[in-house]
Amino acid sequence: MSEAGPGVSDETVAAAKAGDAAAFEALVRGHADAVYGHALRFFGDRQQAEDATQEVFLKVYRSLGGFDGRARFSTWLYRLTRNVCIDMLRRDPRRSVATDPLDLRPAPVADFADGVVTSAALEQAIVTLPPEDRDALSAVTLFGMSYEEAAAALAVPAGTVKSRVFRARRTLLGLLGLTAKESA
Amino acid sequence: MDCLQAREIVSEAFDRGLTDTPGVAEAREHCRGCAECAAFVQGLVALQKAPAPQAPASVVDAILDRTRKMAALDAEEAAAARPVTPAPVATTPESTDQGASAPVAPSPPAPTGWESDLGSPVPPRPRPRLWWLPRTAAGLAAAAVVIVALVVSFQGFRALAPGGGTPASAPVAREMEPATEAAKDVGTSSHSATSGNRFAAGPSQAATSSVRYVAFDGQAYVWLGERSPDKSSLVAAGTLMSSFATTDAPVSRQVWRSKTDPDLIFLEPAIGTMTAFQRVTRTLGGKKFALSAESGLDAYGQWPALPSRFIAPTSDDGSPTFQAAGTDDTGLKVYTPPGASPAQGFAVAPGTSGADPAGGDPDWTWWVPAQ
Repeated sequence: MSEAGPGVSDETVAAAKAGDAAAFEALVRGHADAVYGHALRFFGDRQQAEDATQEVFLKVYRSLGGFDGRARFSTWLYRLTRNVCIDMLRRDPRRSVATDPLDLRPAPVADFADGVVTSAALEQAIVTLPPEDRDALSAVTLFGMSYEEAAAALAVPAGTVKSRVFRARRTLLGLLGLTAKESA
Repeated sequence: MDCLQAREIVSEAFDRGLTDTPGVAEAREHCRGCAECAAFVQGLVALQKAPAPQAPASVVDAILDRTRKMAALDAEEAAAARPVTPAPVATTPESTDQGASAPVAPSPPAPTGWESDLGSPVPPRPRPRLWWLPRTAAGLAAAAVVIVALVVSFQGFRALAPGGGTPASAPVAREMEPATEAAKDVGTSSHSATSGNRFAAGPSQAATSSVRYVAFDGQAYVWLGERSPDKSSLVAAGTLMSSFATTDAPVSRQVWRSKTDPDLIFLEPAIGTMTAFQRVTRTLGGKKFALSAESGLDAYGQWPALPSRFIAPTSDDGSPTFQAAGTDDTGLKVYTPPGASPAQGFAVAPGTSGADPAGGDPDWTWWVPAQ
């Protein structure tokens, strides 16, 4: 993984910043999934996630000149993505799609016989996580950030990021029925 | 080592790629002997294998399309920002019964400080250096300079009054100013609509320009500027969608039509004064025809195109779609489908002068009887 983050090299970021259209396209294609994934988990709604993804990259287009390279590009992009989602929610609180964890029934044991978790089940469960746990998990697993980078982005200690990621995973395994008792 | 410690170490090891540290080894040993912790590890593996969300290809394509257009607009803006000595404005050669030539349009109104989504000429905010200039920016800039030089000699629209009476509204001018993009900072709120995919493929316009058109009721209206009309002289006429001068998703705006001038509409912004737009028209046989914008116009900088039912002509004489059908009241050639009468509508070829109502449009345009 390059310093810029998953999917693109530092040279690509620099070229995009200098105005290279192909490099900007590579940036978009290299990070669209991460941005979309975070937005999808934030809103729990595909349309809003698509809207947010487009808004994020338009802001990237306008703001990339101000990216100073002190942090990794993926860290900068994560902050921007998080801010866009929060701003969108503030502008229209109806955007939030509330999901009660109690509505999530563990899938039949047969679905997990081979340890396979469907994307739909996982995403549905992630939406129900506490926001701080979900943000930490997204930073680490979608944007490929280290605990230290995520800590800087979230303004919390690295140990807190580690704890939140662990808690998120533990919660998800329980929601998805992937604990020892349920799978026995 | 207890179960909680072991699981925390395993979770961290997944993220950091740790394999041989003493803590990891001890955690691994613990999990071998603990069924619940072993299940936890298996669960982490299952989570890791689950497919991550993927952005739809259409979203990525829309983003790239939008940023390419923004880059083109930025290039035009840069070119238009260079000082240009205005050419003397000539009076119109038109001589119809509908009144005298219109005088030169007034200077753009001073910025009000409210949101500039309706395109008032707000001084650009300090923005990062124009880093996003594609390699073709030099060519685009040269083309933009030529277009600006042509249109600064454009003479404004005459106020169109019904029955040849006193014009009911201020003289109209089409100002070919560069569209202003509202710069957005990282982390601040932006302006976007809440309806469906606003970035889907828009009207089939040709290359973007600095014109400020909106589409209403299938016809094109050109920006006039901010106005404060007496609301009692207006009637609610519906809504229209446009991004105006921004890069955000199109937003809906209430449209008010003048009771005294059917060609004049006003858009009501979220805050601030109204913005006036004049229907783009020309006359043929003394009758008024409006510039068709059936395909809609998503934002400033877009030219109205031929309705989709027409195949764009491949020749200057309008063939194979159109044939010559006389001239309008300015002497400009008009074209119709074979056998059709211009009274039902006609086309105008691209390349008209800056003085023409559709001057500068790089495409064929279609004109419909104005209601």
